[in-house]
Amino acid sequence: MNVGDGGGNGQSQDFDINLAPIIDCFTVLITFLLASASFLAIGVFDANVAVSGPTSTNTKPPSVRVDVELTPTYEIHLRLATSSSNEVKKILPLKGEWNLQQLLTELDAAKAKWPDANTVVLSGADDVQYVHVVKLMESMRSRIPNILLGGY
Amino acid sequence: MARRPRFSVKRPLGSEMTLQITSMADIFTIILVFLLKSFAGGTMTATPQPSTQLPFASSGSETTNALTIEINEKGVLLDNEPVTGLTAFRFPASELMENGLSKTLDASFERQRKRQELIAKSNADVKADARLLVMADKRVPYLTLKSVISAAAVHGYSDLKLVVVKKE
Repeated sequence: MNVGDGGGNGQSQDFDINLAPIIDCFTVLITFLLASASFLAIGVFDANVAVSGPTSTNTKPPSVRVDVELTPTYEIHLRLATSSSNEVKKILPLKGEWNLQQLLTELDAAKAKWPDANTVVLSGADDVQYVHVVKLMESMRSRIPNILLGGY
Repeated sequence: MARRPRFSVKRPLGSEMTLQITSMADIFTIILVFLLKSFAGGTMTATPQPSTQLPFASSGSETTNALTIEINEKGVLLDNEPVTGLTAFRFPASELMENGLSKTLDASFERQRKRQELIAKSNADVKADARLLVMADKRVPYLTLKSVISAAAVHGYSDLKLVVVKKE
């Protein structure tokens, strides 16, 4: 660092800070941070567990219970159970994939009929892979935000 | 007046050669500050094993710190410690109890819950946490997931946070 020639005796006061150890330190720190960094953008889906237990007495249960069950053949079983009826709709696969569009249409219809429907219990057959559960959860969250994992 | 050629400057013999690394130090400082800031912004400390393929999703909320369970092809890890082995994502039959729960996983959840309750007892500000971060491989069958989630729920971990990788 040059601090100029301030001396009156003719001797130069130019000096350099020794940056080499600082650079060494920085190199080690940056390498460590880069090595331990995770470059994945990670997020979470909130889900609860559909378990039986004592229910709160001051909350009114919704007028309909919505269950979505996934089968290994990409068929979705949508069950709408009220105190007086128990309706099961089978949503057939579309081009070998989950027919999400029809599922959302059915959920919209259920939501229009029972506006207090705010919870879906999602379950799957034993062989259904987790990736499909997440995919269905992501789709249904746009209609009904509260999703419970069931099937126990 | 003749201009002196630029490249013909000769240092006097015996003078010390020093590399100008001030600009390099500046760059390193900026990179270091950027990396430290990125680390400070992230709240999640757990990272999945390299073999674990998390499912992708286009949405998802921010991560939180909680007890972590990881399910991959070879086993289940609770709080980054191996708990039990899996064979092709499934519990061995000898590991399962009559109700479908894993014996060792059930015991591990019980230990974690007791530990949390002990901490909560000695510190009034801390409460036993119902949150559980689930880092499951996307190929895990629902049967295994169900068994793990049931064991967690039995010990009060019912607020599940399913970890996904956000799509770009």
